Amino acid sequence: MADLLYLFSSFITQIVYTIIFGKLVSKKVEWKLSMLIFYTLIAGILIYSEKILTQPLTVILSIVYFIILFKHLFKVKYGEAIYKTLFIWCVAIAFDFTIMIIMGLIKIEHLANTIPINYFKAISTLSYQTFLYLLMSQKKIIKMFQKLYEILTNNQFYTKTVLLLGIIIFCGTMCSLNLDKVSYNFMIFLILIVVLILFIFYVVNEYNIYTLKEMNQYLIKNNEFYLNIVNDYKIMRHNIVNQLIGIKSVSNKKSCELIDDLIKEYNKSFQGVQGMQKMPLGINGLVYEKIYNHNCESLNLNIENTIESNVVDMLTARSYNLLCESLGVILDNALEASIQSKDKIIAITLSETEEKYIIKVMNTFSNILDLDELGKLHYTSKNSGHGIGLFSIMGRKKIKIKNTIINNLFRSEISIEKK
Amino acid sequence: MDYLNFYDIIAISKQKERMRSLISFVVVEDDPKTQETIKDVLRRVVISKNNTINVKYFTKYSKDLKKIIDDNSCRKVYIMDIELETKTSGIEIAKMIREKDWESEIIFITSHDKMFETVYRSVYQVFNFIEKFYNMERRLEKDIELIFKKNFDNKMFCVSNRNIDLQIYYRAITYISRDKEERKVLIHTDSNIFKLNMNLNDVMTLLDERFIQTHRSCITNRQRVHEWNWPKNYFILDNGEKVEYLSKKYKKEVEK
Repeated sequence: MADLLYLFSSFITQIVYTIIFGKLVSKKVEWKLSMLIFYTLIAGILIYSEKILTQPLTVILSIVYFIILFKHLFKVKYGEAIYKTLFIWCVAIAFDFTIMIIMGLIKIEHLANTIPINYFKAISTLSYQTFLYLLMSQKKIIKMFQKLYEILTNNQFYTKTVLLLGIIIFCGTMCSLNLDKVSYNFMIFLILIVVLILFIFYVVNEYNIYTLKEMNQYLIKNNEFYLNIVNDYKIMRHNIVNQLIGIKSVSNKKSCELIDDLIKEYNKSFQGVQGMQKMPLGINGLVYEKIYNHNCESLNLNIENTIESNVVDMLTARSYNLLCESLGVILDNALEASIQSKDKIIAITLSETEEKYIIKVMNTFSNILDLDELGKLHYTSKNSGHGIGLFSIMGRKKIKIKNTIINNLFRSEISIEKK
Repeated sequence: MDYLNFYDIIAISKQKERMRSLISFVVVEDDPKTQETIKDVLRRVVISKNNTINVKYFTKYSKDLKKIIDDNSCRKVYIMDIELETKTSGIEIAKMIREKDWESEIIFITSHDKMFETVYRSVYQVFNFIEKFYNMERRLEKDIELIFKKNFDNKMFCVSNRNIDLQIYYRAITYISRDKEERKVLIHTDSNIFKLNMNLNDVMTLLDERFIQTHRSCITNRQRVHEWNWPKNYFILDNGEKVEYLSKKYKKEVEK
């Protein structure tokens, strides 16, 4: 009976862990009968393993099992599966200890003589699983965990170090509690393995940093090289135009017409994009791609930048993503709208204060606009639009977007706070 | 009146602001020779005819200049060099002006490449770019006369809602009609149409005397009408557009 109760509590543990993991990765669990049978079998194996193995080994085995299970069930990377399983496990352990302390305080141990210990284990497990489920059902808690995960994944090496030190402390504590069952050799072996893994992590991390730095340097050099070529090309075209004007002054009427046509062609492409090289790295790639995809030759794009700090460093990963998302939507709208207008002008100004970055995108447009519907879901003034872009970026907490129409100019101002 | 609750009071306060009539000239030029030339032109064209007009001279962006930019109590004509020797260029100053003020005029004196002219003219509503070394005096004189002739016609129609602020020059509005199906007003300009959740009477309170009712469902900018055709109930705008919102009922009012 006690084993059956323990089997049930192990089964419930697996279900609760699966639901919580699903919440942490924002995926819904699709329950199947085969899955429940599998969980029952695993619960049986865990009970059996606890009888034949030491406690620390059982715990490690169960953690490894959950990591592998969640990796395949939710199709996440091993790193994410490890981090999030350990999150859940740490919280569960905290609850388990608390309940054990409470049971100790209410002096329930004298009942242990009459009631098998597995009953207590099962009651404790079921209680903390209930608390765990209730806690993890709170959206704020899930968001907090996701934020913590974001911070940890941004500092991978230190996280791995802390994680492994945690495992050493845990194993050490478990071993010291069961000294009669574990030899010193085993402990030294365990520590050696952990040190070795740490060393491998360190080498891999350093190598990744080195290759990324090299790659960045290579990209920056390439960028500078191509910008120099563009500048040389502009100077060359400028000189050609002036030389053509010189020739025109001594040409006959027919030649003048031909030269005028050539000058017009050169000047047309002269207008195009101005100031792209002045933009901060990262944002220039986004703007390049948007313009390249629209492929509008007659567009007048003028960019002015007074940002001197590194945008990527000065924003959190979340803020940078939001900035790129918003700028992308606004640029798409600006490009489509300006192409339909007579002047085809887009002006982008990038500036910064001590607290925030400000990006203004101004474009000419020619359209019918419903001002009360603008920014609402499914409202679009474009022929091919869905009315999702502007809606999705309006009303975000971290980023402010202000839209103004001044005559035939649509002006969007994005402001985002620095770290 | 629901609309007026929804759109805030900004529109009304901006309307009051437009009533101001003081004019001042602001010159920002760091080259003494060019500044002297501008002074001569202003003495001849402006001060000799109206000595109440205030003229301020600057060689660079300063706190005093900022105060003038921020002061909305009078309309201004800025005459500025694009390439100032300080960090803040004429373009930067124009940007600061246009943050708040779309009614003042900006004239750029420049030896700058013409490449950016199209963009700046449109984006910052620059009145003109005058080349320093090509007939500058005559062209500046002509531009100032033109600004006076059109009597600073930079009054704006301003409304705002939760998502957007709309500011259009009165002179850019051709006519305002009413969409019966959607129950909205449509503000027509040369290139755009803006739909607003208002009624024609409320819109009329935000306009000046150049706008007259020509039909039960239409308010027209009479300065933009090229031809009235009363027998056939239509009028033709100066951009060639034919508008069939003309009712004989309003003939007297129109011909006043």
